[in-house]
Amino acid sequence: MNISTYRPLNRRRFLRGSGTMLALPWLEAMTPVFARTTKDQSGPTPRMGMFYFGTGMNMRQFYPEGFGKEARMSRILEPLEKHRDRFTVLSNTWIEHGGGHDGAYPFATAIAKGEKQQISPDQLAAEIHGKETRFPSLQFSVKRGTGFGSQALATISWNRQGVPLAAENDPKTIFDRLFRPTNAEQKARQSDEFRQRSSVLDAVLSDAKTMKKALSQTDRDQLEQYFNSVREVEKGLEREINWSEKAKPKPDLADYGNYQEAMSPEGNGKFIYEDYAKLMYDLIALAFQTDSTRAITYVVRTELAGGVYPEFGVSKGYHSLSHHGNDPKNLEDLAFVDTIYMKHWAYFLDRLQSIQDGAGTLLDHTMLGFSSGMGIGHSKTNLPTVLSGGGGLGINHQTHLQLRENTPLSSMWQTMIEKMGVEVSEGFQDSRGPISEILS
Amino acid sequence: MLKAGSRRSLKDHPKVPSAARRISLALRQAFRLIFCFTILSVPARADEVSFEDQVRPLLEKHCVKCHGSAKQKGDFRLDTLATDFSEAATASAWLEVRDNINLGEMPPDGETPLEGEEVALISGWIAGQQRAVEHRALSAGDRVLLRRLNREEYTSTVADLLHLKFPPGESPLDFLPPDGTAEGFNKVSAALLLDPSLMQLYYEVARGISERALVDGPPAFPTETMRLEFEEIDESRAIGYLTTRLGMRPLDDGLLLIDGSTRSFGLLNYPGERGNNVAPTPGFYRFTIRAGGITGENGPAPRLAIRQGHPKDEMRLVAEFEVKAPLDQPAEYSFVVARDELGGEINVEIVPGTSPYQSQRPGEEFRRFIEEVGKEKQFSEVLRLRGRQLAEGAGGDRSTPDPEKIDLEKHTRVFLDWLEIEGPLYEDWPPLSHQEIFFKGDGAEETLSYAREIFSRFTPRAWRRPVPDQEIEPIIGIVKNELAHGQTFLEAIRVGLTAVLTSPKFLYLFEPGGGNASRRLNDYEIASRLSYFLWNSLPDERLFELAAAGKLRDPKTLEEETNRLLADEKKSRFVGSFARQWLRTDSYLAFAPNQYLYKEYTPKLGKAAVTEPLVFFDTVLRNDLSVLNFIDSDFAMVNEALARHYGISGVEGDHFRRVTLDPVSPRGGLLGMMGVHLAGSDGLRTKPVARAVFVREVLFNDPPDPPPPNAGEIEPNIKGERLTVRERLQQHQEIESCAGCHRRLDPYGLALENFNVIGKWREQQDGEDFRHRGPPILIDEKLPSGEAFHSYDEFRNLLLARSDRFRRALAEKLWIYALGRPVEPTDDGTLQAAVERMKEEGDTLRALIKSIVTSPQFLSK
Repeated sequence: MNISTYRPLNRRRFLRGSGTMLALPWLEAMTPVFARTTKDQSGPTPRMGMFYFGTGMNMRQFYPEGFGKEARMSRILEPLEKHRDRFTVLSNTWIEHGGGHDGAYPFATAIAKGEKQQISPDQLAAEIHGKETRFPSLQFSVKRGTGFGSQALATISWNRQGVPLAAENDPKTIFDRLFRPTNAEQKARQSDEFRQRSSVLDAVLSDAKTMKKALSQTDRDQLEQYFNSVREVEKGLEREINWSEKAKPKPDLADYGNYQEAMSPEGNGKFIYEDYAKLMYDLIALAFQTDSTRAITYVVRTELAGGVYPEFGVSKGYHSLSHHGNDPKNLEDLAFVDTIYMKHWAYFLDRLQSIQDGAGTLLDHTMLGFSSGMGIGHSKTNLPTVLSGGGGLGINHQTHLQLRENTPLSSMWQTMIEKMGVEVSEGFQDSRGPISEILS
Repeated sequence: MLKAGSRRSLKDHPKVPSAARRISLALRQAFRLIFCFTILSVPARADEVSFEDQVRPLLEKHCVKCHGSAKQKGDFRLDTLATDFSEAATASAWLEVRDNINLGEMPPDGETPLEGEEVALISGWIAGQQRAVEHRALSAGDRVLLRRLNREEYTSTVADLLHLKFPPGESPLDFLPPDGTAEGFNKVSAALLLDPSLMQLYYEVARGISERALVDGPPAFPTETMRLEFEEIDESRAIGYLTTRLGMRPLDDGLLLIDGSTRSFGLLNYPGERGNNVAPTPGFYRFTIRAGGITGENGPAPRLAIRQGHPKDEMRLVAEFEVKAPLDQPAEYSFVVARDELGGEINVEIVPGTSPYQSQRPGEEFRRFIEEVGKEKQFSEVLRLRGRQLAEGAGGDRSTPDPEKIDLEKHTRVFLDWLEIEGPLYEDWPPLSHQEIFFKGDGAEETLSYAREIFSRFTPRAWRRPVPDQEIEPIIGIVKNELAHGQTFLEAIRVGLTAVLTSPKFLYLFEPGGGNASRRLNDYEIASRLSYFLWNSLPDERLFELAAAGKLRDPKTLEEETNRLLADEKKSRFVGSFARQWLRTDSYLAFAPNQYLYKEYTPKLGKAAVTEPLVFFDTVLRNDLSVLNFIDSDFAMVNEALARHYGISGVEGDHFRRVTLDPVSPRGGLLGMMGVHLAGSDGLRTKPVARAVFVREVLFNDPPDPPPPNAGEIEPNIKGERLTVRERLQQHQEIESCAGCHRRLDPYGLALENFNVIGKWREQQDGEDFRHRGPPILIDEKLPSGEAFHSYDEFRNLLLARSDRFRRALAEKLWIYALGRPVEPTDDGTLQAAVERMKEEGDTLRALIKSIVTSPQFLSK
């Protein structure tokens, strides 16, 4: 074979080549992929997405005026007007350990930064649905990796060990993983590649075992992450082998952007956020449409860094703006930028609404919850929380719903995962129960 | 014991409105401060507050009447609240207490208020308890925990292990995600987690490295030489027009460049490749240009910039240099740089360019340029440019140059003979990694026993210790399996190599250690601790030899080796990692200065501000200077942009050099550096509190207590008012509940008010709307100790008087970095001894480093 001529690395090629770069949830046991399991065949397939908009929003111009279905859209939410029956703005949500710039940590788990994390809601859903899709879950972000330790956390997904699951920010990389067909050369190489990966994993696992024997108890606990990770990668491999026989879906890309020429946000002069936002949201729609996965998290904006792009035409970064100091110009720019993000969100809802899924639309069968780790002025109250979609899953939208003061954000997550079929028997995070007002 | 579920907010307390209260609320609203920092845990200090003696009596006096056995207002009972902060519900209840007293919500109006000092005491105790819990979460007592390599270490390790040099975009650093940090450093085990996606990446990166290190046949893109004779430009149909410009004169054997730039369109191309690029693949390329130059009348020395079109800004510049060879005796200038397949045509430009010729209204353009230089008060440069304007044939200020009047002889000019590009360069082919691994050369018999030999040679270096035969067996198993599946020997070895690099034995710093008793490290473990501390990489051959000879446990050898490692260029990784994290240079550009208020700020200046402290650190380390230079120094490390910013003359070019400072200069020491002030500003105005936090955390490792929730920041002036930042901050201090903390904190930041948002010295308030004649900057502060100061200079002297605390803080930071664990109370004696020794030996970093590497903690598991 002649794959061995000198070829320098290329990140995209690299990631395409092998393996699930995308994180895998922790599964008790791997069941045959195509075996339809516990799923109730009669109802629609539920999907869920969790979205993080770092550094809050200008909450002075966020909430609709009035409550209920007749509420008047605020300036920032105006772009969502035509979907008013398909979402609910939840006012009075809070995160006990949120506020400041540490809010991304407790966002999905209610666990403060610096403390041992727990499994996030998307991963609970993935434990149930992951067996039936090519990818148990996907992690998207504007920043790659986990960002763990810094305030600008890049992911909001955590596995059962409380380890953050790294996110991917490159639309082309994600697209290729989801849809790029395996070419002949790769196919020919595939069985060798699977075997090689598998034997390397076996070898390093046996290394870890010999190493473990020599370690002290505390060090063994550290090494546990290695064992767990290798096992997960093995399961991913197994899953990949199972799915390799089945061709990847070929979505109709007629009015979608060009993924092969997509730019990732990392320092390229040609990067345009508008295009990027659409590519990323469309990828989520495509992944759900093709049932490639049913749980996705997306850090649309991290804490502190970025958030504003040259084409927005404002002079400061999002973080600088959020330190508005009551300066009207800053507040105006902040609302302006927030509105841009909501226009993208409207685009996303349009897209999901335009896709037929069984008896309804994809939006009817997809629950999308977005919020932030802070409200305005780095507060932990008054978060910009909106639940969209899921009308066909029994979510009865109210447009604007006033919750009790300081209702934990986890209530929204609980509402969503229960609809995903996760059984919450002994309480969920700090939630006081699902949001009953929107359950029909 | 209080249960989380039953707790209700203290704020449910009925409030009695009063005029005074309304005012204080308004003030609070107006002058809230934000603290954007994370709290580092610090070792227990001697002045710790006692709950029983100090906190409890205050609570009993002020709180228990309503939150005790008789009444539990708001369902909140304080007298039975436990003090074990590791219990989440307890900690959270205490945090609520702290927030409420900090905000002045409690005790409520009508009750005896807590004095500022009392608030600070209770709040300080709560913060301290909370910190201790966070600290425990990171620590495993005084033991060093097993940890994986961070990505900087991983990259340096494979680079050194396999002699690989990665062009930008091709390095493991570009593939592996950024690591977590704890205690401010990416070396602490608790933050270096491993998740499945990272594991997958480790596999893929290792596989990629094995393909780079072990090769089959010739390179896909052999090294080629591409050459451009500059006289060809005149003949080129595509770009021949360039030579019709006034700034360029075609000659028989080259091109005379007087102004602007020439380019390579269609004339430089890697053979057989389409496009207009010399680089078909990422790699290193040698650019050689033959040129000579002459300095025109009063003119700048001739400099050339070679650039390449590229979508990434940072990839555009190939080289910029002074042409020292005379015009009639050109010389070759050569540079090896990383290029990739995204590049475009090459451009050669004479700098600094004023480009007067090529604009639509040349005179206008030139006039504007002169005006800008004038604004920077470079009057001699203005005169020079005026002369040049005339020499270029411009009559008056706004006239168009007249080609007839141009006097070439007065201009700085460069003669360009040819440009050659050679690449992609391969230092060796097959690469050294290939030669070392296949040590028997090409003709060797490809047997399993050869594979065994290969890995028994390679694995001990990769795993940084002697490796018994049986540990290699799993890898030999892989090789065998691959061969059985019909793979080539080369491919089989590649898979084996991938396994070696994916093994926990490679990825983790393996220090076996049973039970509870600590043990001395063996020589190999010491070698690794030392090399990862100072090089971020595996031990080199000499360290391995010393380890094999059992000499590294000898303190004298260890100190000699420390000297050797510090003399090696690889120590720049220590500077880039430790100094970057200690001095927080990553945070300097978090807020962009407002472009209208601070016009002189440029991205180039911002970049210099980030580099300055690192170069300064390197200078202190390299020359064994006293670490007290970080507080005050008689020199600064600057390049042209920074020197101009600081008002230092005579510095040209982008490289940093040492300049001696005028004794009255405010520069010198960390706090005189631009980046620190940039970080301590929000782009519009200074943030004294953030600056104070920086001083206390970076120089004294003494983080202040966290602020109450929803703390705001210094707000803009209400219309019509012209209060300085200091005045606005002082109003905040007048609120009793804020005063306790702020009086202790703010002086450290207000001392720096003479440095504006971009670190320029100012005597008057500027920024915001203080554009003209702002009120004077007033410094009149007291440190918590009571010592007063009235200028930055006096403040710096007070800091110098606290040099022992600074030494200790630096020792603690370096300790965390070296050991990869938090400072523990049991480290106190060792740290104190290290500080003493450093003091005795001229306060050098070297002395401190030596103390650390010879300490019992560094040498035991």
